[in-house]
Amino acid sequence: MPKIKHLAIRTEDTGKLATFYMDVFEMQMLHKEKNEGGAIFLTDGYFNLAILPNHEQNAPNGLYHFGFEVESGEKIVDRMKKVNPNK
Amino acid sequence: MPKLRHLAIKTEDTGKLATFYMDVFEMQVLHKDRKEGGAVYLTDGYFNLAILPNNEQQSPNGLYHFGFEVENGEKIVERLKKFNPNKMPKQRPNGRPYAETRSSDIDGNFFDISEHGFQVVQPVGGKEEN
Repeated sequence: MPKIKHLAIRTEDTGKLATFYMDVFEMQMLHKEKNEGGAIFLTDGYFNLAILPNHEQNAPNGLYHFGFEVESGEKIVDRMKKVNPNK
Repeated sequence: MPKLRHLAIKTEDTGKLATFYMDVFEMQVLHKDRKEGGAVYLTDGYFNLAILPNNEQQSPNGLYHFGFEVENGEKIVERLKKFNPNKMPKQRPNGRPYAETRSSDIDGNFFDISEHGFQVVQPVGGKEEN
Protein backbone atom coordinates (compact mmCIF):
# COMPACT_ATOMS: atom_id res chain seq x y z
CA MET A 1 0.00 0.00 0.00
CA PRO A 2 1.34 3.51 -0.83
CA LYS A 3 2.58 5.43 2.21
CA ILE A 4 2.62 9.17 2.85
CA LYS A 5 6.21 9.82 3.90
CA HIS A 6 7.02 13.36 2.81
CA LEU A 7 5.88 16.93 3.44
CA ALA A 8 7.52 20.08 2.06
CA ILE A 9 7.35 23.57 3.55
CA ARG A 10 8.54 26.74 1.82
CA THR A 11 10.29 29.42 3.84
CA GLU A 12 12.61 32.37 3.43
CA ASP A 13 15.04 31.04 6.08
CA THR A 14 15.55 27.29 5.82
CA GLY A 15 18.18 27.17 8.56
CA LYS A 16 16.00 28.92 11.11
CA LEU A 17 12.93 26.80 10.39
CA ALA A 18 14.92 23.55 10.37
CA THR A 19 16.42 24.47 13.75
CA PHE A 20 12.91 24.98 15.10
CA TYR A 21 11.82 21.44 14.16
CA MET A 22 15.10 19.93 15.36
CA ASP A 23 14.97 21.70 18.73
CA VAL A 24 11.26 21.31 19.45
CA PHE A 25 10.45 17.95 17.83
CA GLU A 26 13.89 16.30 17.93
CA MET A 27 13.96 15.84 14.16
CA GLN A 28 17.29 14.82 12.65
CA MET A 29 19.01 16.19 9.58
CA LEU A 30 18.86 13.78 6.67
CA HIS A 31 20.38 15.98 3.96
CA LYS A 32 21.38 19.60 3.50
CA GLU A 33 22.10 21.34 0.23
CA LYS A 34 25.57 22.81 0.00
CA ASN A 35 24.55 26.30 -1.02
CA GLU A 36 23.87 28.85 1.71
CA GLY A 37 20.15 28.98 2.48
CA GLY A 38 19.47 25.83 0.46
CA ALA A 39 16.96 23.06 1.15
CA ILE A 40 17.21 21.05 4.36
CA PHE A 41 15.63 17.61 4.68
CA LEU A 42 14.70 16.41 8.16
CA THR A 43 13.49 13.03 9.40
CA ASP A 44 11.76 11.59 12.47
CA GLY A 45 13.07 8.15 11.52
CA TYR A 46 10.12 7.44 9.23
CA PHE A 47 8.81 10.66 7.77
CA ASN A 48 10.72 13.17 5.63
CA LEU A 49 10.10 16.88 6.22
CA ALA A 50 11.61 19.09 3.51
CA ILE A 51 12.36 22.71 4.36
CA LEU A 52 12.63 24.42 0.97
CA PRO A 53 13.93 27.91 0.17
CA ASN A 54 11.42 30.37 -1.21
CA HIS A 55 13.89 32.95 -2.47
CA GLU A 56 12.17 33.31 -5.80
CA GLN A 57 8.91 34.20 -4.06
CA ASN A 58 6.94 32.54 -6.82
CA ALA A 59 4.58 31.09 -4.26
CA PRO A 60 3.59 31.91 -0.68
CA ASN A 61 5.61 30.54 2.22
CA GLY A 62 3.99 27.62 3.99
CA LEU A 63 2.87 24.07 3.32
CA TYR A 64 3.72 23.26 -0.28
CA HIS A 65 3.29 19.57 -1.19
CA PHE A 66 3.34 16.07 0.24
CA GLY A 67 4.60 12.77 -1.09
CA PHE A 68 3.71 9.10 -1.30
CA GLU A 69 6.21 6.26 -1.33
CA VAL A 70 4.84 3.65 -3.75
CA GLU A 71 5.85 0.25 -5.06
CA SER A 72 4.72 0.89 -8.62
CA GLY A 73 4.63 4.45 -9.89
CA GLU A 74 3.14 3.32 -13.20
CA LYS A 75 0.13 1.80 -11.46
CA ILE A 76 -0.55 5.09 -9.70
CA VAL A 77 -0.20 7.04 -12.94
CA ASP A 78 -2.70 4.71 -14.63
CA ARG A 79 -5.19 5.26 -11.85
CA MET A 80 -4.70 9.02 -12.05
CA LYS A 81 -5.37 8.94 -15.80
CA LYS A 82 -8.78 7.43 -15.08
CA VAL A 83 -9.61 10.10 -12.51
CA ASN A 84 -8.28 13.00 -14.55
CA PRO A 85 -7.20 12.08 -18.09
CA ASN A 86 -6.36 15.69 -18.99
CA LYS A 87 -3.95 16.29 -16.11
CA MET B 1 10.96 10.84 19.49
CA PRO B 2 7.90 12.79 18.22
CA LYS B 3 6.49 11.43 14.98
CA LEU B 4 4.86 13.38 12.16
CA ARG B 5 1.69 11.36 11.51
CA HIS B 6 -1.03 13.74 10.39
CA LEU B 7 -1.79 16.13 7.53
CA ALA B 8 -5.01 18.05 6.97
CA ILE B 9 -6.35 19.37 3.67
CA LYS B 10 -9.29 21.73 3.31
CA THR B 11 -11.71 21.25 0.44
CA GLU B 12 -15.23 22.14 -0.61
CA ASP B 13 -16.10 18.50 -1.33
CA THR B 14 -14.68 16.11 1.25
CA GLY B 15 -16.32 13.03 -0.25
CA LYS B 16 -14.88 13.62 -3.71
CA LEU B 17 -11.35 14.32 -2.47
CA ALA B 18 -11.40 11.36 -0.07
CA THR B 19 -12.51 9.10 -2.92
CA PHE B 20 -9.56 10.32 -4.99
CA TYR B 21 -7.02 9.29 -2.33
CA MET B 22 -8.84 6.00 -1.71
CA ASP B 23 -9.04 5.08 -5.40
CA VAL B 24 -5.56 6.19 -6.41
CA PHE B 25 -3.50 5.58 -3.25
CA GLU B 26 -5.54 2.80 -1.61
CA MET B 27 -6.11 4.82 1.56
CA GLN B 28 -8.74 3.53 3.98
CA VAL B 29 -11.44 5.44 5.85
CA LEU B 30 -10.51 5.71 9.51
CA HIS B 31 -13.33 7.97 10.62
CA LYS B 32 -16.05 10.05 9.02
CA ASP B 33 -18.12 12.84 10.53
CA ARG B 34 -21.79 11.94 10.59
CA LYS B 35 -23.04 15.08 8.89
CA GLU B 36 -23.23 15.32 5.10
CA GLY B 37 -20.06 16.90 3.68
CA GLY B 38 -18.24 16.54 7.01
CA ALA B 39 -14.60 15.65 7.65
CA VAL B 40 -13.25 12.36 6.39
CA TYR B 41 -10.12 10.88 7.99
CA LEU B 42 -8.07 8.48 5.88
CA THR B 43 -5.13 6.27 6.79
CA ASP B 44 -2.38 4.37 5.00
CA GLY B 45 -1.90 2.25 8.10
CA TYR B 46 0.51 4.70 9.72
CA PHE B 47 -0.26 8.22 8.58
CA ASN B 48 -3.56 10.07 9.05
CA LEU B 49 -4.78 12.27 6.20
CA ALA B 50 -7.67 14.50 7.23
CA ILE B 51 -9.96 15.82 4.51
CA LEU B 52 -11.71 18.77 6.13
CA PRO B 53 -14.70 20.73 4.85
CA ASN B 54 -14.08 24.33 3.87
CA ASN B 55 -17.70 25.35 3.76
CA GLU B 56 -17.10 28.52 5.72
CA GLN B 57 -14.50 29.68 3.17
CA GLN B 58 -12.52 31.41 5.87
CA SER B 59 -9.25 30.18 4.40
CA PRO B 60 -8.13 28.84 1.02
CA ASN B 61 -8.60 25.22 0.02
CA GLY B 62 -5.43 23.15 0.20
CA LEU B 63 -2.85 22.04 2.74
CA TYR B 64 -3.91 23.34 6.13
CA HIS B 65 -1.91 21.87 9.03
CA PHE B 66 0.03 18.78 10.04
CA GLY B 67 0.43 16.95 13.31
CA PHE B 68 2.96 15.31 15.59
CA GLU B 69 2.28 12.36 17.85
CA VAL B 70 4.32 12.89 21.02
CA GLU B 71 4.94 11.05 24.26
CA ASN B 72 4.89 14.16 26.42
CA GLY B 73 2.93 17.15 25.15
CA GLU B 74 3.96 19.33 28.09
CA LYS B 75 7.62 18.94 27.22
CA ILE B 76 6.92 20.13 23.67
CA VAL B 77 4.95 23.11 24.96
CA GLU B 78 7.87 24.07 27.22
CA ARG B 79 10.20 24.02 24.22
CA LEU B 80 7.75 26.10 22.18
CA LYS B 81 7.63 28.73 24.92
CA LYS B 82 11.35 29.34 24.45
CA PHE B 83 10.88 30.07 20.75
CA ASN B 84 7.82 32.21 21.05
CA PRO B 85 6.80 33.05 24.62
CA ASN B 86 4.01 35.35 23.41
CA LYS B 87 2.29 32.75 21.28
CA MET B 88 1.17 29.88 23.43
CA PRO B 89 -0.16 26.60 22.05
CA LYS B 90 -3.95 26.41 22.28
CA GLN B 91 -6.09 23.59 23.53
CA ARG B 92 -8.28 22.04 20.82
CA PRO B 93 -12.05 22.09 21.39
CA ASN B 94 -13.41 19.10 23.32
CA GLY B 95 -14.65 16.13 21.37
CA ARG B 96 -12.23 16.30 18.43
CA PRO B 97 -11.02 12.83 17.49
CA TYR B 98 -7.26 13.22 17.65
CA ALA B 99 -5.18 16.17 18.83
CA GLU B 100 -5.16 17.97 22.16
CA THR B 101 -3.20 21.07 21.20
CA ARG B 102 -2.75 23.37 18.19
CA SER B 103 0.30 25.57 17.73
CA SER B 104 2.45 27.03 14.97
CA ASP B 105 6.08 27.26 13.99
CA ILE B 106 8.12 30.44 13.63
CA ASP B 107 6.72 30.98 10.12
CA GLY B 108 3.12 30.55 11.25
CA ASN B 109 2.55 27.04 9.87
CA PHE B 110 -0.07 25.29 12.01
CA PHE B 111 0.56 21.91 13.60
CA ASP B 112 -1.28 19.70 16.10
CA ILE B 113 0.36 18.05 19.07
CA SER B 114 -1.19 14.79 20.21
CA GLU B 115 -0.34 12.29 22.93
CA HIS B 116 -3.45 10.36 21.97
CA GLY B 117 -2.19 9.81 18.43
CA PHE B 118 -3.87 9.89 15.04
CA GLN B 119 -4.87 6.28 14.43
CA VAL B 120 -7.33 5.63 17.24
CA VAL B 121 -10.63 7.47 17.02
CA GLN B 122 -11.44 8.57 20.53
CA PRO B 123 -12.87 12.01 21.30
CA VAL B 124 -10.31 14.04 23.21
CA GLY B 125 -11.27 16.09 26.26
CA GLY B 126 -14.98 15.25 26.51
CA LYS B 127 -18.09 16.14 24.53
CA GLU B 128 -17.66 18.18 21.36
CA GLU B 129 -18.09 21.92 21.65
CA ASN B 130 -19.83 23.75 18.85
